[in-house]
Amino acid sequence: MPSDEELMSAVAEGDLSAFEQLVRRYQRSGWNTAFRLVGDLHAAEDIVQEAFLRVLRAAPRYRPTAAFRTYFFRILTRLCRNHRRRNVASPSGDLDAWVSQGPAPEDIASSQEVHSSVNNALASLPARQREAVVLRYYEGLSYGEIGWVMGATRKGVERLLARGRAALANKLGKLLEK
Amino acid sequence: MRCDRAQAMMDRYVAEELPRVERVALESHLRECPGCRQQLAQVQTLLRILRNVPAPPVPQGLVDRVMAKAGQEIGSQGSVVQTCSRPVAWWRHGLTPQQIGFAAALAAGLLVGVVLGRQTWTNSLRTSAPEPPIAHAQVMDAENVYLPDYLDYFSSTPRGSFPEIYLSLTSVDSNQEF
Ligand SMILES: [Zn+2]
Repeated sequence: MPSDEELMSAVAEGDLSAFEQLVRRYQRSGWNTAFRLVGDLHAAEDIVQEAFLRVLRAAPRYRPTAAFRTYFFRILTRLCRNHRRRNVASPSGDLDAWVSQGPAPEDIASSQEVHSSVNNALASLPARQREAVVLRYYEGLSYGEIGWVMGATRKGVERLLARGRAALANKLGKLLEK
Repeated sequence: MRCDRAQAMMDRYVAEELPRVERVALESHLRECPGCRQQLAQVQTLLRILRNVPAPPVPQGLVDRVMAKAGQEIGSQGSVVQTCSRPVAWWRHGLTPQQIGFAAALAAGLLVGVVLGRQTWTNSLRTSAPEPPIAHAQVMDAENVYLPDYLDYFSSTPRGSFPEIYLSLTSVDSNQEF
């Protein structure tokens, strides 16, 4: 299986099927991340699409000095940040609402409650803490990768995560006692 | 080891990312410090709860929609391969011949101005204009590569503006929260 970076070189040569492979590989993590950062279904889809199109446009100039994955997250995170700047009014949006749409197993009420508290707590974090928390705990990026994505030092990332965890623990106090 | 230091390391400890020396130091602190042991348990619970909250499913047809737009972009210019390695996205965004003509005239005027200005400058100072530092040029180039966002005039630090470059150079970290 070709690496992401190999696919990117093919995309630079005009290979659309290589581009499609990259889109398939990253649609899930791109979508999850965008949704968790903006909390809005429509905005998240627009942002993911735009991120992929920017990858396509930039492919001829892409140099594999950074892993494609972090490169992609950097583009995506910036787009989410721009979106939040323009839409200050909706901190949580659909984050809270979508959980109730799924099919309902018997114990879903309590788990929906948990999901909704977690999503609200996430949405209440300051922007950069939220980015660091999502990239770290949902996407599993290393401190170095997060630093590169966000333009922060490792120490900065460590501080953002420590503050983010403290704020979440504070909001989710009751859940943590169980 | 101080407790705040120990707590900052906990998430890399849980992820088994700590180098041996730091891990040993943290474990010896944990043996002596009930407060940090409790904190560690809380971090583990918090991360488990966070990860149990799924994002909504990827919207159906996302890949198809991205590919349709990608096809349009490439169809409108023949190929993803750009003949020139400089950022060229501006001419793809529907400029009319009049606008291009105006831009060309403006550029010519600016060039004349720069040449004249530079002559005056070198004559008066007997020194050539300083080259930008390498790091500076790299950052600007990198930003163009990652985000061809030429219309970013509205953010607090527009792309390519002095504050934006300054922030990239100084590796913005957690002090810049909002
Ligand atoms: Zn301690």
